[in-house]
Amino acid sequence: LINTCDRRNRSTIAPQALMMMNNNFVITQAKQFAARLRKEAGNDTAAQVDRAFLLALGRAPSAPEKSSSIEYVKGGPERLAEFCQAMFNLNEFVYRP
Amino acid sequence: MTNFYCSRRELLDRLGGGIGSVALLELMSRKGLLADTRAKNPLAPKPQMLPAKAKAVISIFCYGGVSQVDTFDPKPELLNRQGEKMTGVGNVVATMGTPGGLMPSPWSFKKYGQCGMEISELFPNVAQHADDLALIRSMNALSPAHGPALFQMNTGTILAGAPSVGSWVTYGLGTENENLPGYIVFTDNRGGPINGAPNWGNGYMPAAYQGTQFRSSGPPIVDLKPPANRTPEEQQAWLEFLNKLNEQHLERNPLDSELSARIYSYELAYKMQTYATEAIDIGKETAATRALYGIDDDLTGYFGRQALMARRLVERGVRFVQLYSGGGNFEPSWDAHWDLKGNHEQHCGETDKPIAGLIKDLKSRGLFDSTLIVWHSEFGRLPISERMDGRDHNAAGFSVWLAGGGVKGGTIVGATDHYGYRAVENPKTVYDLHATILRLMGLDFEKLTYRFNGRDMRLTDVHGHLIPEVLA
Repeated sequence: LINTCDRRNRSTIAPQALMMMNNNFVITQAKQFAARLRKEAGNDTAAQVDRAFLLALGRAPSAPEKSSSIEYVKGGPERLAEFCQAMFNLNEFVYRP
Repeated sequence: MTNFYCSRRELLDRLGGGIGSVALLELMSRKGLLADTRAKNPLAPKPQMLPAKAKAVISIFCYGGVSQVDTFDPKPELLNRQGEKMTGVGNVVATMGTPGGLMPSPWSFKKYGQCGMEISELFPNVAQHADDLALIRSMNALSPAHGPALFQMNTGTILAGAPSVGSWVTYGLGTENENLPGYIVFTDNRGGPINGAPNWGNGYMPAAYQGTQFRSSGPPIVDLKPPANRTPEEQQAWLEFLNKLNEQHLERNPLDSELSARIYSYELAYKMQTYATEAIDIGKETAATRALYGIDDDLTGYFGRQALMARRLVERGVRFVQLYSGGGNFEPSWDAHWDLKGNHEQHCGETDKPIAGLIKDLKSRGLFDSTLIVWHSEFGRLPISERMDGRDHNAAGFSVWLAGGGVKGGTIVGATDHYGYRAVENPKTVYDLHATILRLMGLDFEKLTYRFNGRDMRLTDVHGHLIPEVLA
């Protein structure tokens, strides 16, 4: 059998996670994503969460995803941007649909 | 926490990590994620293949090419024939194309230790440990150009794209401290070596085995600190939220092990925020220790700090640490094409005391027998002059030494010809050195393989023989 197509290597390393957690560029992009959600979905948290899932993942959130997200976003004024940063960190966003 | 095995080291780490990390672990184990991600940790410790004392490697890479005839390979013949053409040694490769006459060393040599190893006055402190060194004077490499030679010394091949020695060692053995990377690299403060990160790259192996570059001032890793306005509690809540979503995704893709490996990487990243900073914080080291490494001296301060950090990392179970002395192509390095005297006085001066201090410190802490120190360059330098007072590259003969766990100290292996140009007696290749490093770490260089492109790859490819003389 002539087959030398190689498997993709893992790139799951801590410095990558650190970058996605702490890097200023990622945080700035998350804030801008949050601003876009406010603009496009208004101040309703449920609508913001729906819009975020559609823009980031191309789908609507499942019921448990939606309830966890709403609960998280309502935890404080900074939470919408932090929720957006979490979207960028999802395995589904970074790695595999 | 159920079904959770915890070693003494882990327990202490957990306690030191405080409520935050306990909470994250608790969260993950409650969700049944812990056993899964733990099994997926590609750096989990693995047993040695063969009995060996060394548990960690400290590679001291003198970038640019150390001159063997001025440091560890005395050649009085150069004085007798000063200025003469170097003949009778076969083809002489002068990389920069300006070969001069034979040039004696400006430094004198003395015998040190019980073994009577001759070492030049450039390394007066390292020389005090002559009986600990296994010196190989008959090394040769494939390329006299920095790039390919660096690749060969670091990865076994002169081409880019192969895993580095540190990758092979962490692939073979994992690492003891799961709160820190298993393979850490410090470059010179003036710049990094050419080829850049592929020098400590994972090549065709998973990225978990690549070297992580640490900085020796400020935060050790880029992006280590959370944003200023984010409290630990907030970060904790954020990670829990992220894990919750990732976990639902994992449930939809239960067969993809890489997803749980990626979730695991957040746990390590989170813990590294605390542990990496602590690991290289030399603030609590005693004045005596600082003095040992020459930390408060302008000349030795930078390399001394790195050498001390290397000890702290090895002490904490990091498997492989590489320290570079010498910056990039346009920064000061050992590449003494001109002013050999000034160049080697500076670089030996910067590293001699810290290296000797490291050996002494490891000994006093009982770590010397479990740590393998490898002192090397990518090649050596020619015994003839270049531009009157420099020396050109030389891959035909050069010196490296090993010390520490499993190494037979006070050993001299092989010899170069009477000029110090070519390794002629018992010549050793970089493959041989790599095979021996793996053996000293308890790894069999012929059995440690990684499947790639339909082939079981090895660090030494189809080459390499152990250097039995250096094994205790």
